[in-house]
Amino acid sequence: MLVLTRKADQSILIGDDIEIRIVQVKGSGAAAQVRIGIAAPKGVRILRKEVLEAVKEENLRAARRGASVPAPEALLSLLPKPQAPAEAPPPDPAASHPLTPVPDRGSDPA
Amino acid sequence: MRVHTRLLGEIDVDDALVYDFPAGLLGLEDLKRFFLIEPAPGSPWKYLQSVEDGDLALLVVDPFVVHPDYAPSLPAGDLTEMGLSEESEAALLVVAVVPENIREATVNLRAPLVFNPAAGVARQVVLEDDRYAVRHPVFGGGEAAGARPVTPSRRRRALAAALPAAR
Repeated sequence: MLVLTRKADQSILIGDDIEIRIVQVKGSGAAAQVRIGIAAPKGVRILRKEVLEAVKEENLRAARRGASVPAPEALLSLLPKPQAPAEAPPPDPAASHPLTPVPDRGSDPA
Repeated sequence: MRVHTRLLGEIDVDDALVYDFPAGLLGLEDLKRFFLIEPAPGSPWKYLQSVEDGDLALLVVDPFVVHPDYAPSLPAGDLTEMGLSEESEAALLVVAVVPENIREATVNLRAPLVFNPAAGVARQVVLEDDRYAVRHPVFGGGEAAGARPVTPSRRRRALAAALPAAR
């Protein structure tokens, strides 16, 4: 990883259209904080890494539960019924078909 | 297309029902194709079933049922990448985690699954928005969520409800 030393109000340019500016440095030691300004084109994704990590962890948690995902009927009974939208789209053909209640791992064909 | 699923066993899935997730899901980047299983007609809860891994199904839900005022601002770059010209064309679902105590169920409002129903493309968009938690309780404060007056983005709800699902 490239490591540079910067002071407040100094910038780093990445490529042609990304600028990272050190806006403010305050505190010292473990309590030190740096405010960073980022100018980048609209399409560039900018995220705090810990948020991304938290989402990743949550997906894996959901996937692990996936081994025994609950039948949502139990949840359904605890949620309000969704109101019919005012401008409901034409009925979805898939929605009119009866659906197999799940999960039932026992019905697995050989 | 014949798909083996843990939930429904061996099923036939119309290719048109399969959504491409070009970036996969965070932490599950290898899985690129999913379809929705609707456990009951019109249910706000659905399963997002992987085509590639029959054992993997995530419980997902219409976020507006859990959080009627949900109004995430989707980054323009993400919309463009999915071929969406405006936010209102997107349909949203969020991933739920349900522990043994069902009342501790949470949904990930921070990273909604954004679908372009017309193009069959979807992606998980991580929001840079502190209002929405990765673990938002479905049943806040002991009473059922959504007990407040419903003032959702009706168009989006309509879209989410209409997302084609397998049966």
